[in-house]
Amino acid sequence: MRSRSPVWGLRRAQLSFAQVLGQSVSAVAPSAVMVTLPALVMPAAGRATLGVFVVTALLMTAVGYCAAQFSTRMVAVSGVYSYTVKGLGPIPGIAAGWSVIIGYAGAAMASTLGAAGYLTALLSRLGVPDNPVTTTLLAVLVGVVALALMVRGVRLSARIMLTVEVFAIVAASAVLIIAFTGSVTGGHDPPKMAVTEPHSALGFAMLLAITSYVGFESAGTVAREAQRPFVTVTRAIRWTPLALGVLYTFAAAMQSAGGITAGLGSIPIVRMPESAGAGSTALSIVMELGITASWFACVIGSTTALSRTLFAMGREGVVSHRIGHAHQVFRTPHIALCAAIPLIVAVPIGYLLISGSTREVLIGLLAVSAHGYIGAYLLVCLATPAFLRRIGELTATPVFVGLAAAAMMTAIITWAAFTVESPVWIATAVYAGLLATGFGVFALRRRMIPDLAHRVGVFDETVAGDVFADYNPWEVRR
Amino acid sequence: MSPADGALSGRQPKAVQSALQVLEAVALAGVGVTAKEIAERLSMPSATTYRLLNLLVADGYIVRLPDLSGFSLGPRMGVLIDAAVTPTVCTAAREQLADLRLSVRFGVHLFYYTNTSVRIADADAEYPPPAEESVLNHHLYACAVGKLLLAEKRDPDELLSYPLGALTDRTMTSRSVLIAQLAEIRERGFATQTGELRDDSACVAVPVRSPAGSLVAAVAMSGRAEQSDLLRRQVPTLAEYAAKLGPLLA
Repeated sequence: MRSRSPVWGLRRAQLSFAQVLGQSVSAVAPSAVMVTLPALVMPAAGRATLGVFVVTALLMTAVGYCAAQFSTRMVAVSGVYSYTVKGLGPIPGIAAGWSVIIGYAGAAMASTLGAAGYLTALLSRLGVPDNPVTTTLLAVLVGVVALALMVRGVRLSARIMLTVEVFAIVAASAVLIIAFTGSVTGGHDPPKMAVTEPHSALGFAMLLAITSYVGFESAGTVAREAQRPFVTVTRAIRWTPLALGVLYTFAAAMQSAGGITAGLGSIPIVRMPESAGAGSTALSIVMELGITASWFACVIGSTTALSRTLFAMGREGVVSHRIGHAHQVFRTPHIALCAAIPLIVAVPIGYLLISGSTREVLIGLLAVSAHGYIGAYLLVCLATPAFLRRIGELTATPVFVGLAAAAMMTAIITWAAFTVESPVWIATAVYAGLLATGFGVFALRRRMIPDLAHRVGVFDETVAGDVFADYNPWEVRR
Repeated sequence: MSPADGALSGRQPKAVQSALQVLEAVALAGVGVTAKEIAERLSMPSATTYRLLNLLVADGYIVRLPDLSGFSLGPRMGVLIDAAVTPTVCTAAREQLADLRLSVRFGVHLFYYTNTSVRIADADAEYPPPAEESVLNHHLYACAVGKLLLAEKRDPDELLSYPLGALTDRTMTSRSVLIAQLAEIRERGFATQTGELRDDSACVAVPVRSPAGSLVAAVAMSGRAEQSDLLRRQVPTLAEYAAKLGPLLA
């Protein structure tokens, strides 16, 4: 047994349950999803929209149940990555590790651009020119502010993230309610959706709806830094999908009543119905502020999860050991953060300058990111029964839930693959390419560190000082 | 949150009994026992046993070993055991204290330390210590023996609850001042208090260490507040006795 935790350097017991929950919820960016996604799912799913959100909520709850089997048994810093290693071994573990990194990085990149895009839209109301230069500058600003908060301390960034997220959800809900009541009392007919053969695209709609939950497992990356991690992280992972399911079903119900339509212009900004009248500008501003807040919280949430996963990989040697350094005073993985943020800002900006459409960049990044998340979820569901069997604690429920969730996810992916539009295949190719690069890096590092396969999967394990043996009560321990 | 969190109200006696049985089984089996072995030993349904083990791990009464399959008693058990033990002082150590008491006109006391608290092991009957044991433990930052304990900890905040309450006008209630003083105590090797615990009292305390260097006890002298300078001059004498007591106590 070691005398020091392999993930020493990060400060323990910093986050309360609310902040751990905030981490999970922020990484999902639910209010941005609430006002955009139902509008994207509806044309594909038609009347089944509500059903789609309920079914996916249950599926994600099953994934949460699987992740919770791990979070009640180990204090991780790299969430799903270390869970998969413990269940399926190093090679599938590395696949899950790079997958979540792609997931978190893609989400962080999209959110940075999302925050910058909505800020640009807000500032253009004040006369600031709405052009790529403004967006670029604002994206850099978002990155720098987020970096400063996250390096300064996990408690500070979590507190701000939680506040921002609560504001975002309240703003989005308020706008949806006002728009809904406005459209009902105004007596407008629901706008005619261009629904052609809705059920042919149901599989794709399901996959889209799944992507609106991804990130909820990220509480598993702050377990070392949470108070009573076995309890708080488990609760956050268990309850977030259900809570999000309620929010999304509510949002879908509001929107299917015809209050709001998603603008299909440069960015998916929700447009207010005409009936909202003079208040509609104010409502739009409130909602844009809310969505900006949600994207910003998502930058912090996703980057926090990303940096902890990279930090763990640095400690293992899967990436450079320097990435595994923690700040002496602030006790945050500052090298991982400083390495990640420039990429998180530069990639979407570069992509935007090439493609010219914010919407296209957002969708492209989120599609790649979703591939990463779903790949990792599939692996963690399969890892659950394997893990419990290995430690001799296997019971019937986790076998059933794990295998059923994995089977259902595979079915949805296959179904979606037949109904999907062609651009998604590009995202699949990008994901496959990145994953292959990840394995390439692993193979290279393995040559340098022969026992690398045994080192992967670090977590905050029990150290000699925690084990209650040869106890002498009359002694002060440091 | 499940309703069981705040409102147990003793209505699930079976669950509590089972949890304690599991705890006892882990204690008896020793380091590395697995969940399956415990379920078999107690003839308890395996799902129930696993759930109870996870609950006990969450609260720190037991820990999972790094292989994630073995269990052992955890740090929280120390709290129970520390509360149950009483200090006993061997005759040789008592003789040393008696010897010291003859040479000075101050109260001479011996304190033992558990990992988180101060325990009075031998108090001077003629000049009793300025406060009771429970007062000392609630105000570790206001007494000399408590400051020694805090100075020993890598993270003194574990033993303190903020804001620090003032017992007198001179009690240190600022965290930064306290942290600075603890650094000084670590450097000098003794701790003092003057009018911080009670207006009219002053103390000086010197650590007694085991041969391995860990803090096990303190010898302290107490007097009136205006005698603080005289008390401080006793530090070399106290250190001499502390060195003699070390091998006797640990």
